[in-house]
Amino acid sequence: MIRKSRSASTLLPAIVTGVAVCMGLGGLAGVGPLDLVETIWTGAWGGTDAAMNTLSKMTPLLLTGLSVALAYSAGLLNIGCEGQLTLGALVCATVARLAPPLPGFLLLPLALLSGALVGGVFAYPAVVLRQRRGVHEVITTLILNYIAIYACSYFVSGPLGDGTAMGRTPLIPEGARMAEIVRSGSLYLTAAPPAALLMCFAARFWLSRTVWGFEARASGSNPEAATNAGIAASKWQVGMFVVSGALAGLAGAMEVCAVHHRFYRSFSPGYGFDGLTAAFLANGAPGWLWLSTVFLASLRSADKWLQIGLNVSPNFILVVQAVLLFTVTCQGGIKSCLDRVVLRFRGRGGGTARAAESDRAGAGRS
Amino acid sequence: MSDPRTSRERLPDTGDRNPPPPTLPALEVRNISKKFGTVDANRDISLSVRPGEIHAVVGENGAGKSTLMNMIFGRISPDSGAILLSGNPVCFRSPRDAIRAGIGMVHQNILCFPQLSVLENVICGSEPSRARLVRTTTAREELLRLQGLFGFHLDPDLPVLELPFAQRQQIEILRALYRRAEILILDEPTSLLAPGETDRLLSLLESLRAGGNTILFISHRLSEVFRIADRVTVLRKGRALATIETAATDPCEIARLMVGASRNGAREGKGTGNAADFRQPCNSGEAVLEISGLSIRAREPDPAIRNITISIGRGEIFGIGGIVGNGQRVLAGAIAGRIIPDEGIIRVRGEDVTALRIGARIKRGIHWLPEDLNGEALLPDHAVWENFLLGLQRESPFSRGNLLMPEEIVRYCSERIAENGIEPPDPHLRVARLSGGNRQKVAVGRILARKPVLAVIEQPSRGLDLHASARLRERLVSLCRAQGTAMLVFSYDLEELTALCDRIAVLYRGEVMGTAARGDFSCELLGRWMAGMKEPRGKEVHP
Repeated sequence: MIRKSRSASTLLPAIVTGVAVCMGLGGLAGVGPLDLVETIWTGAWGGTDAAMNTLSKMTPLLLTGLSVALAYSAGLLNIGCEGQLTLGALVCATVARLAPPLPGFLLLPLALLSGALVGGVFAYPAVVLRQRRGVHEVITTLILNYIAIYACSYFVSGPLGDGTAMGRTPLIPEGARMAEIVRSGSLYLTAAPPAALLMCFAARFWLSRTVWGFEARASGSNPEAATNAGIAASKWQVGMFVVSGALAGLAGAMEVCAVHHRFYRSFSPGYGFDGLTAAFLANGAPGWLWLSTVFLASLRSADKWLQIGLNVSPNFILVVQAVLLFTVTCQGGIKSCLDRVVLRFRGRGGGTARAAESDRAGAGRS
Repeated sequence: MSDPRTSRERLPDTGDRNPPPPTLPALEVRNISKKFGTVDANRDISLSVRPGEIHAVVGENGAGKSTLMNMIFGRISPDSGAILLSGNPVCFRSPRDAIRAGIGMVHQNILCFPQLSVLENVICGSEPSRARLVRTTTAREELLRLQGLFGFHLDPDLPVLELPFAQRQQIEILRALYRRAEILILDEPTSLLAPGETDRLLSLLESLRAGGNTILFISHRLSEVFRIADRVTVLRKGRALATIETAATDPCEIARLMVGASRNGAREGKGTGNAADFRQPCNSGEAVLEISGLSIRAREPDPAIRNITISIGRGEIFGIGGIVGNGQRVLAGAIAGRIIPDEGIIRVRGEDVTALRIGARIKRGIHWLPEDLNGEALLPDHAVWENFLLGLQRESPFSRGNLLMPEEIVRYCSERIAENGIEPPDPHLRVARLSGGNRQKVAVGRILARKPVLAVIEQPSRGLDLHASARLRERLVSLCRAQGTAMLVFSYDLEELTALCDRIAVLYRGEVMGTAARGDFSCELLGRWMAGMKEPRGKEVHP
């Protein structure tokens, strides 16, 4: 290992603080702290069905999380996963349906790749605008989200829909569906979650151990210095951003091929934005995305149990997610606050009171 | 501490040696310590600054000077120890507290808001206001008055973004003075100033002292320290070694204290003599770099350069002097491949490289050290080994195919760390954690290790201490003589150029004022060229 981990010591206090705040908020809503944890746990992992449900939710989160993390490693923020995912899903469903009859081993990759391709293409204008005109990619990708979502909504209600008023496409042919590997009752699991997981670890390896990964990270960290060292920094940034869009498109395509087998209006329940949360909870490290997605998927699949078990609105899950994202983003500050508290308890109580006094004196003097 | 010369009466607190001062010290630091990870940046440092004195703090790179100053200014908090102002213990949680208590600081790493104007940057934090609205009329007058004192010519309304990097240091100085701080901390304020500006700054510090201000002054230039400081404190490896009256010592003794007794003798003196002794005349006919008729139009914020013709031979060190902002950076960028010239030809070893991009030039052995390390040369958030790898990542043995070879890289990096004396010697440390001088060593070391055909080096010893910059000069000279590297050195420091270079040209408003060879150049002649005067009579040149 040539990369030293320096994140654990600041990340852990942040997560503990976040969990404590969530428990406190739960208390305000009339939920005992342990009840909250228990409900989420049993809702997400208490039984085969629950676990399979949670695992299948991990696929899009892993891919959108990876999408955000890769763009971030090149110094860019991709807020547009939601739109890229939606567009990828629609194109995948349409290609799978309209393609000439092909054997499954060709049709499925074709459908998935078409979804990825359109995601990448849709991310391209944002990064080009950033480099040529200095338009910040956060703004452009955010706006492109709405273009994609509403355009898809139009197409699925009209030309690409199945003719019903449901706002959905017809089902894709059997050959384009991913094969089940585990089935339990009406629920089944495909190879999608392990495939997504594998991609995360591959990305981790690529970033930290390959020449290209190093060049991409250098371009993200300091484009000027990378350029001066002979690296084509702006090309790397464009490339990484397109790959980021492609991964989000692939997330949509995987959802179609593995879970829903069709596209419908309001396809994504916010997977694109959850990808941001997943990436930042993992500190932008693809190697830790599995942990943050397990966590987020658990929250997501347990939300209805809050209503059933505790009589709390499922939206409480969003609060939990937001609090944790907040504490993790502020991890540096939280760590130093805690350090200061610890210092104070180590018997410097008298000193700080005196210091505060002279502080005031200093303020009066100026 | 076996050497009696250093242990005698040096280590104990200065209070024992001097009679207790009549008034309380303006600023006192008691037994302060700070650790970064496993690195002891400051160990049990005590320091007392009398009101109305100029107190210099000197030490090698990484001795802990900047850490100490940042703790006094509230940017970082000490692990243990106390800071007292006029006898009252204080605990600054942020620089804001320190500013309120009357402390001002000029930082080594220039801190400013690029989008804001010069005026806004100067008044930021102490904006004059009436009814919550910022009033800039008086501030503008004050800024112009302060600029007049130094001969600075910054347009108050220009966004700092458009200022050359080197001029941003002037903002730091103006800001601290504008706030009328009672205690002024200056962390290497002169590293990017021209000689005349340095002179005026030092005179101004003297007049501030006469007005009752207390000044803490960090510099690697002992001549400056001995010109203005009343007392000097020497730091070594995070410890305060001694505080001595400047009247009772001399530069040699301070230099010896700084580097430690073990290296006694080898490195003393002014530091500039070593490189000079080292050289033999450079006598090669083969030209490595030939620039002819090079012109580049002005593009904000860069000035134009006009009709530059230079030829540098194998093994030659060619210096480019001049006051900040006279086109040095444009010329360096054009040779390195960052800027494509409008007119003229650049040839390296006979090959026309004018249109080549930076990567292609690096392949031909043209390496460039830019002036702004953090912005243009280093990856501050990455480890030291990654910074040494930068640019080498595609070469054997550091990668095979597309795979990096970590063992090879770390071994190579450890060698470079030893070769350049980088402290602390940890390849996994983030570069942002290194002191300014050690960052410079990383950036310079990276280039020298690649045995360049042509090295374009801007400000080679910025932030380096006496010992390190003397060592660097020796290395530059021996590299050029032994490997035949042609070297183009840009510096604002005339002494550095005259100590190092075979020939020196001076740029003034984008044109070469003149070129002088070793033996012909003197600081007086070069200084005149820098001011735009070609003739000794003082006739100004209007290009």
